[in-house]
Amino acid sequence: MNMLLYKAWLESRQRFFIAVLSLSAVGMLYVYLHPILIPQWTLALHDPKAIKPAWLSKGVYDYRFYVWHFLFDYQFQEIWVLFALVLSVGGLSSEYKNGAIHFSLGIPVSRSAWVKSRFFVLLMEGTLASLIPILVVTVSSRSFGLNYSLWQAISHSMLLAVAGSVFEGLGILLSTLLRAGYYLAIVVIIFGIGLPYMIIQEYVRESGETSWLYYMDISHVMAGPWLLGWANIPWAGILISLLLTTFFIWLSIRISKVYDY
Amino acid sequence: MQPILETYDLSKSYGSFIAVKNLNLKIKKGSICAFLGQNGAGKSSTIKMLLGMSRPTSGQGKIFGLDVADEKQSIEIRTRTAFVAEDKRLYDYMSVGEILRFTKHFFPGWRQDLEKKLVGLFELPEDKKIRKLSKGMRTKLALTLSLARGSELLILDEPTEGLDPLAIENLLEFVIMLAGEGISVFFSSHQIAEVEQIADHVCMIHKGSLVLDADMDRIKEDFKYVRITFNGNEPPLNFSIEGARSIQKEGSTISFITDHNINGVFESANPYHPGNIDVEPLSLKEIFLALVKNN
Repeated sequence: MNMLLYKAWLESRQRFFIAVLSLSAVGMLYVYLHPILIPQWTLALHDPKAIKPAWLSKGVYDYRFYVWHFLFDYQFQEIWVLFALVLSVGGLSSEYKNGAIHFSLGIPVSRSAWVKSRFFVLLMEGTLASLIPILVVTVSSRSFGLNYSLWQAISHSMLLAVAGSVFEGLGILLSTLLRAGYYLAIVVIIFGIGLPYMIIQEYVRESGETSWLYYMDISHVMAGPWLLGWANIPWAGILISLLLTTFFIWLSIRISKVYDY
Repeated sequence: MQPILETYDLSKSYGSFIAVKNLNLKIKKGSICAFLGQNGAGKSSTIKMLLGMSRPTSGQGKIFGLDVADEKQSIEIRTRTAFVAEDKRLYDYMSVGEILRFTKHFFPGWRQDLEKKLVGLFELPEDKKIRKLSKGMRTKLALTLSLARGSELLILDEPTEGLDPLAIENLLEFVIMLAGEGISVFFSSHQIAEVEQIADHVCMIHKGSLVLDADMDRIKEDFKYVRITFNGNEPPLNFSIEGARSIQKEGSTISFITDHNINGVFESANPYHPGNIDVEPLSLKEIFLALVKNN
């Protein structure tokens, strides 16, 4: 298994590094934007004619909310989902197209082990792609005299990665079904799932808690409450997400077992 | 002796296309068996079924007495079998050294001595990425990754494709050396001259069906080109010899290929009072062409 993990890591490490760099850049951008945005928001807050979203005062006075709002509940999360899908491409399904499949299948390894190793490395990469950029945000915040707690950084990153694993499972399932080369699979998955998800998610977010769509709002689970603690971890959402992930991986294994390569 | 590889009515269909039809093979332990056929004859489809890459539509295949269609048994088969695919693509993102380390991990009998020898012989650059290797170098690497596995059986699908003549010669010598150590070899090829050079058994497949399965010595002994001249007369209308293939009539001469005992041909021809009977040996290429055309 170790060597399968090593192989899966070599296969996707370039994409992983791009993911970490891109997500770190997004995180850093909002750290650097803080001194520019906050004075404008403060003015808006005191302007009786200005339109004030409900979160505005929290955003002005609490840096932890500012970070959560822009990163975990918004753009960072969306970009992380896109990268989770991009990182999911690989393994037997991609090798079927690029010709290395017969070398892989000549090795004494079950097809289920190939899928599991791809998924395990993807889980690790997804977790690190969430954690590393947020640690970069935590450290760089200090240089601006801002404080973002390490506990919030780690707990929110972990929540994003665990609840977001459903996208990794979905990516592996689609990649297995597509049996396309890397680039085609990435393009199809991004345009077929990633971008529609981002559009639907905006709609779900605005539909409010009264709509049935609220129960499908996986991004809500991934973001969690802005001040995350042991008492308010969204366990039910996490459980549903993990069950879905398990189902997608189980289905991917079943499909890969019946395919002729 | 239990055959190392055997199939019983093994068949594979893709929709309405029959790739392999009721194939019955028995390969003896320690033999070098050539698996010949035209493009699309069903060679690669057979090999894929034998290694668990595709499922037989019907029939059964066994290697080392293990069922090729059973996933657990297939893993055992692949642990004891080295395989080089027709398409010798490897992991482009790995270097030569990385893929060597990766592959050896799965084979407990990995031959470090052979790895070293082959890396030297083929001048494989261990630090170079596979994506930067030429087609010939990739083929050499694929062969190294296969031959060093320390396996009991080598299954090679078009192993010499893309190799230069010197590398082909080195490879063939290597295969003979491994066979000398008791390793069985089952290889498909288009290069009939190479097959003639090393194989001791030949299986020929055409449109999914087996058309020849015999030892090389017997093939060379039995297959003959026969030309009968009837002293200026037309060959008799009712002239026929059992088992004659590729029959051609030109004036007073009739020629054909036979895989029967040549004495039987003489006996069959005598009642027609032939003037002259010439018998010539055939190359494997001529036999291959005759069988393919005949079918």
